[in-house]
Order: sequence, then C-alpha cells, then structure tokens
Amino acid sequence: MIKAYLDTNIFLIFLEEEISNSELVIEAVNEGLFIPVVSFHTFKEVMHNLKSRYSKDTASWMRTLIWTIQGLYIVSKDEIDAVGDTYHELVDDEDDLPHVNAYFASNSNYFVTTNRRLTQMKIKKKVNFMSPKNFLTELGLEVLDKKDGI
Amino acid sequence: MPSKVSHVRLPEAEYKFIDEVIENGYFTSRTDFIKSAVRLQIHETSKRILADLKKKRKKKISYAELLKLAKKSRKSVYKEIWS
Repeated sequence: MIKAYLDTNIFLIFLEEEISNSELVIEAVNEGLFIPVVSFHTFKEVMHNLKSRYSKDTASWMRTLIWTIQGLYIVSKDEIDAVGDTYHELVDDEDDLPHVNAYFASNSNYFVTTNRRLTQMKIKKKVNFMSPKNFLTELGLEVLDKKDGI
Repeated sequence: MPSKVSHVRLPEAEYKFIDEVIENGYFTSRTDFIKSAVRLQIHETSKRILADLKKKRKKKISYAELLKLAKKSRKSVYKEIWS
C-alpha cells in the first residue's frame, strides 16, 4: 500500500478552514487507501503553533486526533538522524530538512504539503510532492476547488 | 506506555459479531478489536471537539498568515531540537 507523508500544514489547515482538501485527506485515511506518515517533528510543530494561537487544550485535542489516525506511522528522531546530511544541499531552508529526511526514512511515496516554497526547491527532483487536492485526485477521490489545492 | 485493564460487559450479539470478524481475518483477537474501536472513538470525538471549536471561534486568520505562523513554528522547533 502507498505511504504518504503528511506535512504539518495539513493539520493546521484542517483546523483553520471550515472545509478543505486537507480535511478530506485526513478523512481518506479511514477508507484504508494509504498509510499515513508523520514525524515527531509534526507533533512538536502542531503543539507549538496551536498553543500560541489557541489554547493548550486545543493543541492537545489536535495532538490526540493525529495520534489516533488509523494505521499512522510516526518517524522517530533516530530514523531522521540516520538519513544524515544526504539531502542537505537540495533543501534551502534547513528547518524543512527533518521533514524531507522523515519522508525518505519512511520510504513514503508521496509528500503531501501546501508549502509551495519547499516544493520549488532542488529536492523536488527526488521527492514526490503533492498538494492535498492532487493527492486526493491520485487516490481517485472527489476534491474541493480551493486556492493552492489546500 | 503503561496500560490498565478494564472489564467491559457487552451484549452477546456484539461478541458474536466480534468473533465473526476475527474469524474472517479483520482483527486478530477480541482485544485487537476493542483497542481499535476505542482508538477510533477517541479520534472521532477529538474531531467533533475541534469541529465545535471551528464553529465557535470569532477570529479567523488568512491562509497567507497561517503559512507564516506555520513557518515560525517550524523554525522554532528546529532550533530547539537540532541547534
């Protein structure tokens, strides 16, 4: 079965938008169409972001929602460390690197993100980046017509 | 993760259903089925709570602003873990 690395922005958009393709991606997991992958970084970024804008409780509910996604695979720090500096030269923003490394460490087939800057970096030749909308299309599911495929 | 034991009383018909789906290979045991059901319920309840929050909140930020804040969190977490 295909594996899809879900970037942090997928979960942030899910909460921010009334309805979004990001939300449909999370829903699609329940249909067993792909194995969802995140990393320990995803949890830390979601908590950092939501605690600063909402409350500790909201951040915790989101963490619980992610943690209980059916069949979720979580890439650990050790797995990210093991990839080393292999892709460093191809990623302009070093803070994006742990996510790129998590994608490779988990042998994911897709990297689902709305981070357009990341998808334009040299790494795009090696990573199969997809917007939530394009990923849903790839799965043969209906999509919403939203700006940037979010 | 530490765990606790719970005794749950279920109607016979539900046990029968659980045993049938185990026989058909969907789950490996009653424990596997019940653990999966609890996890799914936690997931759905979290989703409902967050959906309620979406309805109640007054101020919404733009997508562009959200991306900026997401990047800020990314930088901060990166610095905390890898620097």
